[in-house]
Amino acid sequence: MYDPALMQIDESRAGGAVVLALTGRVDSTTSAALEHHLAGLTAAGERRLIVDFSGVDYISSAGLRVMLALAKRVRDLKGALALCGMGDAVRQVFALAGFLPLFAVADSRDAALEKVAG
Amino acid sequence: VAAVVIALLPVSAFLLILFLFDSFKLVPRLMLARALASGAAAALVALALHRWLFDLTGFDTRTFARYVAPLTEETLKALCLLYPLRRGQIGFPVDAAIVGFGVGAGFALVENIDYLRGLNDPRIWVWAARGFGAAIMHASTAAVVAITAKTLADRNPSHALIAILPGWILAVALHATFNRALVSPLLAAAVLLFVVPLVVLAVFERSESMTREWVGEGLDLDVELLALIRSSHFDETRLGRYLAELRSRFPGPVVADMFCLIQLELELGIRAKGMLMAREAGLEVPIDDQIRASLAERRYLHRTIGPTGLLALRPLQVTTLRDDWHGYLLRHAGKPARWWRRDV
Repeated sequence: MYDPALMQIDESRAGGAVVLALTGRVDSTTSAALEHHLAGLTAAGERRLIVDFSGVDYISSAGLRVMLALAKRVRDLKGALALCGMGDAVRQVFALAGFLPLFAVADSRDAALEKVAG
Repeated sequence: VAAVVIALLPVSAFLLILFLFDSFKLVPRLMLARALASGAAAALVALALHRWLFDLTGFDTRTFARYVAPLTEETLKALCLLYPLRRGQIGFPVDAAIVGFGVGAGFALVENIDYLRGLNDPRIWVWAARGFGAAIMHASTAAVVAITAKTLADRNPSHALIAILPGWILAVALHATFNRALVSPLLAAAVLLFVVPLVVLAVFERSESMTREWVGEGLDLDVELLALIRSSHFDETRLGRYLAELRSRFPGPVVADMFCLIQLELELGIRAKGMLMAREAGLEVPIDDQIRASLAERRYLHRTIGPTGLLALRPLQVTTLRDDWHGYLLRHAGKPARWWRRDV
């Protein structure tokens, strides 16, 4: 069961893109809520997305699966997705799994906005 | 033309469906081509062997089909499965099923081509019985051998070679029952067409959920273990203490290489699991130069540590029998099928 105390999702808009700022842990407990949120966005036709990981200190395979599914959906929609604000722990998991080439990764939210700008 | 299509198409179509159903894409095209080719070669050997045995024993066709052919044919097909099983090229029952079915399909294709050449029977039901019955039977029994062997070898890795025997006995029994024609050949074909997809789907379902679980939980565990190994507390862990103990039995550089190998196996394991996870999502992770370098480094470390050192690492259960499979998976990722290419 999703506990908002473990992960928060703050949604905002910037430069025509939807920015999701995550805070907490993205794991087997919280990933279903994130998946549901993202599925709602892509179903509503959002094609430019930024996921800000600056508040995330832990991501497990469940979170990685959600990000991969999002990358595939955005690709199918011919949209753009960027990840930003990854701390060392999160970046290392993406790097170890070999997923960094699958995503546009930026250090800051502004740099991410440039990457998804059409 | 109709006879050729009916005799050869069903098993080929079934194999293609199995290959496409595998959402993790566990079997590289090269491996499937090898399975088909080895099955076809086994059929050629069987044809020659049967001619010789037929003359030697003097059995009539019916006795030969009931008591000799199931033994020889299932043995030859099982031999084709030994190599990929022993070399760690099969990771789960699902890829075992595909490779086994491939070997059996290759066998059945050659056997049916031989029948087509030698038997000028215009009756379409004869070819339906061959195409839907005998061919599917050959592929299914080989799949049974592969699935059983892989499942048993996973449970008891030290008896991996013997693990092929129970599946082989079952395959011989199934084959002999089919050849006894207790029911009509057409009815047998119909039963097979109904039963085989159900059994294969059940194996796929179970194996896919096993693979999904292994990929997810395994990746999390490997990441945590790697972080622990790279931390300053490593010496205080069970792993650290065990490696320290090995210093009294192995030269320092070898123990250092053991430490490197453990890290490398974990890194490669994470990459392989990440690749499968991406494939499941419909994405392909590029294999970069770093992976190629890591695979080369792994071979170097295996040489410098030697068989005794590798055996000493076994109790740690960090390096597993699936490591070879990780390597195989990563080596063959995104490569076109070239049957002449040897394994690196």
